[in-house]
Parts: sequence; structure tokens; C-alpha cells
Amino acid sequence: MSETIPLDSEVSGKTILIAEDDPFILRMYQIKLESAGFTVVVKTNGREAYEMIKSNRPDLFLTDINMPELSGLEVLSALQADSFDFTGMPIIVLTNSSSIEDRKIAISYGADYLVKAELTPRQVLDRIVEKLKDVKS
Amino acid sequence: MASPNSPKPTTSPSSRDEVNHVAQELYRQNMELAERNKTLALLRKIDEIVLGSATDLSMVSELIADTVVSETSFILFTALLVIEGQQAKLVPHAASYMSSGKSKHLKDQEKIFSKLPIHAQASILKEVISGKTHVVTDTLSSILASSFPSETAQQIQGAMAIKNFYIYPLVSREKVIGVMILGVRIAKADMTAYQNNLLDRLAGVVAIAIDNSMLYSKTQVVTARLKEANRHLKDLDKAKDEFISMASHQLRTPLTTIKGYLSMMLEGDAGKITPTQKQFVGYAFEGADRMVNLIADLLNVSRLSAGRFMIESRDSDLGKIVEDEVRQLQSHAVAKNLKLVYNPPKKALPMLPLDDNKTRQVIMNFIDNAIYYTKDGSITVDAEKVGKVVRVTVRDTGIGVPPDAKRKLFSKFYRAENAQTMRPDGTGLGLYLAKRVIEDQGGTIIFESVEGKGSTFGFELPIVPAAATSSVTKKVPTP
Repeated sequence: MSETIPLDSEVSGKTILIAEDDPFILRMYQIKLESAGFTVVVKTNGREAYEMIKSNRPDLFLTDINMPELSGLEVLSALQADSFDFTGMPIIVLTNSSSIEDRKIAISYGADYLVKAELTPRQVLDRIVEKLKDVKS
Repeated sequence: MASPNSPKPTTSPSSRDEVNHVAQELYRQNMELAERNKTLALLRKIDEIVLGSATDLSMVSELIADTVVSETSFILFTALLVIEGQQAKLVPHAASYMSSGKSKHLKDQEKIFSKLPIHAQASILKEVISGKTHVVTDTLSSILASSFPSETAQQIQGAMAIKNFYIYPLVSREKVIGVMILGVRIAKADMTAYQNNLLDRLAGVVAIAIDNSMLYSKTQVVTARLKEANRHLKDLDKAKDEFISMASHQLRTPLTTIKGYLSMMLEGDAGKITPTQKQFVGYAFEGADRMVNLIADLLNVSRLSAGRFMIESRDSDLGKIVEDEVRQLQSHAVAKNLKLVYNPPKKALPMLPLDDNKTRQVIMNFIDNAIYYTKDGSITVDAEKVGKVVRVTVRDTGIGVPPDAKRKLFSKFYRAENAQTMRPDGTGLGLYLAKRVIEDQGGTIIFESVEGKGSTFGFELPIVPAAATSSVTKKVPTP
């Protein structure tokens, strides 16, 4: 395992919105992403995440599924109902749910679907960097 | 016969007798042929009943009884009784009477006579069943309840114009399954051999028809019960799957935190730690990771059995996956004094459309097994491009697989005996899933082993142009 490597200049300073209701898990990703040089905004329920995206769109949206108010998937469907333009805002759905239905829905929004327990925060960080670089190219 | 053109022949009285005799004989043979024809038609009709759509025993019995009286000229009455239930009780199922006349009055009589109260406990019926042979009686009262006035019975029999009742046991597969009563209008002495023969044959054919119908009803009942049981099993299976899903979710959440923070300590996010601390935290991390993988195995097996197992590919760097897994398990090997060597490919492997997580797990399983089942020596991991495939192998100097276990090694929950001795807590799922994951991605499993010498586990995956991602998955569009 290596020490956290500083991000490429092309993705550092980007804003990541994390929607996650478990405080320990939220803090874990927040520390990892901030120490890598991202600006991190955290929301602990779907409603607030939805409002934040509408008013101040982040560069990437990292969301849990099961959350109070609105689930991560409901946030996506609410945005779609508002004809929100998802272009340039990669979405990563990060959950411990094993529902194939959830996975299908996430993928239908063009989101990545990752299982939290199977990845370390570092691996999630790598995926975020990868997604942001895809937007660039 | 004389020809009209020829002069009238002078025939002697004796030759005239002869002609008469021949004519009579011809007439008799004609009658017999007609009778034979009718018999054949009757037997064919009963066969049709057997093969037809009527499947309910009472319906089949009624059809048979009606057919017998309407298709023969000498049998006016037919009744069928079938042995039923656990007490093997004889139960009347159908009766039919048809008179030779057609008047309204006779039609009304037919209805009444078709409802004759046959007494199932009549001693003559018991005699037929126990004797397994037919009995003829000329008194109707012998098949009616003893309380039935015998004079009335006699009058009825007269009105029915029946001389004798032939009572046949219905024997199918060497078992008496019922009784058939045939009321015949011809006196016993006047019955032709053919008519007697017909009665015998009829008993056989009807027995088969009744038996088939009973078998069919039994099959129907059993099928219905099986369907019900099957539905119940499916419900249980669904409940089990839901439970596994729910439990997995609940287990994964705390594991995410344990694994995540431990990994961050190892990566220095909590400041510098001593080498010993790093080692201990590393062990804890691996333990948590192992548990995550076990949960994934469980979920995958449950999905496989529910037909919901899915490969989701994205372009992946197989070389990096192998390298990661070797690095993750290095400390395990060191702890057991084993050498874990990775020979990376000479040239970087092409990107392949793979289910990253599942493929990772396969490699982890192979290396993990190799470490577990090797007492001393080494584990060598190779990854290379060979022609149109990428080959990954994990070679160990472990206990190997006994020859008789080789065939079953990749089956669900199977574990070779020597493996069970060495590691009593294995699940027997790793190789089973590995085979599915590799084959579902178009690859093949590599497996060679010599008991006591070591094993090689691995796979070959076809090199597919990165753009042509597997059709199993919906390709995620880049936003």
C-alpha cells in the first residue's frame, strides 16, 4: 500500500458531492478525498443532495442508495424529471445493497455502481479520478 | 342359383336340400360376420373412450356402460362397480339399460332401469371378486339388496326382457379393480360361441379402461400435490434469497467501516505507524477483506440458484488485477513461510472487457487456496498473453488434488477430503464460482494437479477488442 499520492492538476480542486447517511462511512470518504486535493461537500440525506445539485452542481456526485428523505436513486429520477442535464457530471452509486434491480436503475442513469465493502476508500478515489479524466477527454 | 338364360335344370330333391343348406350356412356366416363387425366396432369405441378426453372415472364408466348397451344387440343392461378407497369398498359407478324397442313408454322404462339399485355388498359380487372368475345368474334379485321384494325384482326382470346376468370381475395388472354386470336377453343355451367370447373380451377391455382412468386421476392428484410442493419450495427459496441479501447488506455496512479505516491507516492517512503496527493492521485488514469476499461468494451462489447471476464487464487491466491480488496476499504467504512469486507479463496485457470484481475474486480464491493448501515451498503466479488469449496461472507445491476428487472439484459445496482435513472451515464455493465467472466471460479454466506434489489453477480469457464489450452488460455511456 502506498501513501496518498497528490492528484494530477487536471482533476485537483474539483468539487465532489457525497451523499451518505452513515457518519463513519461519510467521514472516511471525506478524509480520503480531501487529502487527495478535492473539495468535498457532504449531505446526509437525498433531499439536500438533490437541492445542492440543482443550485450548485458538483463535478462528480458520489451517492449512497438507502438514505432518509430521498434515496440516491430517487435523487437521480427527480433530477431526470426536472430535465436536468447530466452531461459532465459523472455519477457513482456506492452502496452495500446487492439488489440487481438497483444496479440496473443506476446503470440506466449512466452511473457506475460500486459495492462499498468490496472497495477501499483508495480504490473509490481511483475510480473518481478515472471518471473525471473521462469527462476531460 | 340358376341362371335365367340356361334351361331350367332338373334337380333332384337331394341337391335342392344341399342348396338350401349352403344358403343357410352362408346366411349364418353372414350374420356372424355382421356380429364380428359390431364387436370390433364396440371394442374400438371403448378404446376411444380410454384415449379420449373423458378422464374422470365416473364419466368413463358411464360412457362405457352406454356404449356397451347401444353397440350390441344382445346386451341390454350394463353396470360398473369399482373398488375404491383404503377400505377397498366396491362402489357402483354407472349403469345403463337400453330396450330393443323405441316407444315412449319403453324410453321411460329405460331411465328407471338404468337406476336399478345394485347392491354392492351382494354375496354374488363378493364371490366374483374373490373367485376372480365370472358368474352367471338368472335372477335379478341376487344383485339387489336382500330387502328388495323378490316379486318386484322378478317383474322388473321380465319388463327388462333379460334372461341372464353375467357378472365379470374387472382384472387389470392381475388385480381385481371392480365388477361389470351384463344383462343379456338370450338364454344361456342359445348364446353363440362368438357372443360368449365377446363378453369375455369386453371384461378385459373395460378393466383396462377403468384402470387407466383411475391411474390418470391418481396422476392428476399427485401432479397437483407436486405443483403445490414446488410452489412452496419456490417461496422458501425466495425467502432464503431475500434473507441472504438482507443479511449481506447488514454485514457489509460495518465491514465497510472496518476495512476502510484499516486501509487508511495502512496508507498513512492517520499519520505514521510503526512497521509492527502496520503488520498487525494489515492482518486485521485482510481478515475483514476475507469476510467481504465470503459475503460476495454467498450472494453469488444465491444469485446463481435464483438465476440472477450476472457478469458486468467494463474495460479492465487484468495485469493490474493480478498484481493487486498478489500484493494483498503477500503477507499471508510470508506468515506461512511460503514464497509467493509473481511473474508479470513481458509486455503489458491488452485491456479486456471483464467483470472486474468477480475476476478479482477468482484470482484471489486461487492464490488464497494455494497458500492454504501448501505446507512448504512456493506459489508462482504467471500472467501472459498466449496467441489470442490471456493466461493466468497459480502454481503451488501443495497437497494436490486426489485423482478421484478431480472430476467433482468444481461442483458446488464440494471439497476434497485432504482439503477438508487441512481446512475444516472452507465453503466449497470458491472453485464453483470461479468456473462460472470464467466461463460466463467466454474463458476456460486451467486445472492440473498431482496429489502430494502440487496443483496449478488458472484460466484463459479470450482477447476481445476493448470496444466490443460483452453483450451481457449494458455498456455505461460516458456522460
